[in-house]
Amino acid sequence: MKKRVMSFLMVLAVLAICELSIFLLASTAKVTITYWHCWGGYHAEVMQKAGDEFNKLHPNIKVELLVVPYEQLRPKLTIAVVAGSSPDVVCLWDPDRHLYERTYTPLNDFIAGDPDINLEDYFPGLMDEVTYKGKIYGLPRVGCSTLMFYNKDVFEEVGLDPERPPGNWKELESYSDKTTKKDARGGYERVGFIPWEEAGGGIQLPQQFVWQVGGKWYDPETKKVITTSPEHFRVFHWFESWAEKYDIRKISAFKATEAGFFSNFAGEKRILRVNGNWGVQDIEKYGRKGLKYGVTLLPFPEGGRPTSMFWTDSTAVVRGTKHLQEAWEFVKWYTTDGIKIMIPIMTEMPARYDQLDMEVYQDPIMQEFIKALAYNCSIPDFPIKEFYQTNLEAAVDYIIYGKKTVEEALAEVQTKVQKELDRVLAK
Amino acid sequence: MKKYVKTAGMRTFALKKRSKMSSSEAVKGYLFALPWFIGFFVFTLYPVMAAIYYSFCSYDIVSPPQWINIANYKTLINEDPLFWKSLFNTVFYTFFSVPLGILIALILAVLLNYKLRGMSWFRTIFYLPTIVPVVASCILWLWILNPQFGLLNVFLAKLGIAGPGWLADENWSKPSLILMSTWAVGGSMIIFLAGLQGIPRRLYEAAELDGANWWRKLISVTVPMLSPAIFFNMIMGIIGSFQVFTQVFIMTDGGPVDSTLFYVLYLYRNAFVYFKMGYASAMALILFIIILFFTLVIVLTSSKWVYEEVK
Repeated sequence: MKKRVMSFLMVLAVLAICELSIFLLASTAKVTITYWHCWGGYHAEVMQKAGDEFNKLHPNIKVELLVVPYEQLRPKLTIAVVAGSSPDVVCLWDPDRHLYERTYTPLNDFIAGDPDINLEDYFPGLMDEVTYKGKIYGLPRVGCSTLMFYNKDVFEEVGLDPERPPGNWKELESYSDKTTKKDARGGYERVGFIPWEEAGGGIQLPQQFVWQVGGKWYDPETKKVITTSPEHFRVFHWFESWAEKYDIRKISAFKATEAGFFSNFAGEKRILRVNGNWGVQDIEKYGRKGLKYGVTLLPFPEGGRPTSMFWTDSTAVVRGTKHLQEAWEFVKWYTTDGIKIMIPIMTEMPARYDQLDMEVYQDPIMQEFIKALAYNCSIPDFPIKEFYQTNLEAAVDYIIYGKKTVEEALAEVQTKVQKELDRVLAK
Repeated sequence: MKKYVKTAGMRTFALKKRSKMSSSEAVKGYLFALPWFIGFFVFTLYPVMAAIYYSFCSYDIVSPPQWINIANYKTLINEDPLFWKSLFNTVFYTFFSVPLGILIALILAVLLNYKLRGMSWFRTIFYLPTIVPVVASCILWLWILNPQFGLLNVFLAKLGIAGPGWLADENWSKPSLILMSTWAVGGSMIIFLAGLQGIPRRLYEAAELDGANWWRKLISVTVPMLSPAIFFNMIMGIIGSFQVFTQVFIMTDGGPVDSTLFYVLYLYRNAFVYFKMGYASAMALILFIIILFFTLVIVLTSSKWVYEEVK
């Protein structure tokens, strides 16, 4: 009898404890929002740091960050949105703008109702990247610009003036020729400059060179894709002759030794290389101590203009989120205050004018990048960037390997991309 | 009379008992198989049916699919040179890697069948490449095939041969992948080994009595007796080779001038980079038909060259 009573009391006690803990948990329930971003490595730690700071300052909201590798972010997000298990906030890295309205929530109302967020605060062009047909889908978190890095030590070694980087296309070619070195077996030990390559972060040098001489890649008025203008032919013929001079197979063999994108510049195997501001970090991480380098605008020919390419990492609210207000709170804080925690550690470029006064931007190299922000170019309002880019890369491949003529390859890209664009716009 | 009734009664009774038992047995059987059925329908059959449906639609996941009849197929066949290029690349690869793989696996199996001390160590060593994860072996081969510093070209240079650009050269990129595929023939090799164990000794003895040398024994006894295993490996090899994806995705992403743009890589690109799900589904259905065709050809001609087991 006693045993029974004891066991009955035990069960009651356990139930009571369970109920109490549930009650306690419920009373401290916060809204939890998830944020998917595509920045891994040491970048992820910095993002997490800012996220933790947000949690501290906002006791009723808890944000959980998840790193999703860049290539998987879009497929994963798209499927999650359709399945209904999407995150609340996501890194807006989506080239297919015509699909924006199905995946992200427009923020126009929030921006209009918030006195702290004004469109003029942002650098020109950044807002264009997140806008489609008048609706704004994200807040730019960081901006960027690209410059050409050059190795001053090697300049000295081959008798070039380390304080005088190349200023136009002819000088670029001659500097590249002088700093290129072959090894004992006829392959390349060191290469100066390769003008057609993808320069990381989606920067495509071919695009920059065409802009420099006044060409365009797309006309938003007529909705026509342009890859066969005289400017295009001029630039790509230049690539063709460069590839012939350097022997494309030897260049490809040399490029096959590249591990990671910018490490070859840091390892002094590439002397002139275009990269964004994050290149500074890579040099610090992978280069030897005391490596002397400089940055300059990508050389442009007489009659041309300086250019820089950019993208923006924006933070967007996913469509169908259950915590719209909290998600907006996070997006706003992260891109205005949170970024101030991240910038000094990551040397990110500012997206807003009011972030320019930060100490890290007083560094002379960073000053050059900030000046380059004024020359940023992009393709406006174009919905299928990925398709365009992949086909352009393939065309560059065919041209430099001598498999197709410049006119042929570029005409093919134009037809293909135009067809796809028409199909997408007609939907 | 009595006997008849008794017999009839017993028989009837026996029948009734069997049908009751068999129906309850049947129900239990279906119940046990039910989890598999559910898994099959939900995870295999339904997605395949859905893919067939989507192949007749234009579908970008975020918007509902729009029925466009056979437009995807028409575009693929008439207006997409990359479809034909990727198909050619894949067929080229399959045409060389499957026979080569079977040949090497066969030779290895015959060699490893000799009764020598420590033979099990050798068998393990030759099987190890199969259990290396594909991604790891891709990175490994990227280094081996590196034109400037890779083991292969350094070794060739020692022999005085200037090695080609391998994966960086559009004429050598597919041969590089074929070479890489022969490294992992361990699976086929094991199957051949098992087959070899099953060849009765008396066949070899009979051949020796007739004065057969090792070559004659190989092609008149070993290979015919292994033909079921060759048949199996050929079909599995073709099915697998047509669907090669990981190696090209990691090592070359379509390679120099689309020389390693394999069919499934192009399918993946259409599906997950361009988000043209309908188009990719059409590609998938076409691949299914192609693989089915080759498999049927081999199966239907098998009676001509596959020897049934000798009892």
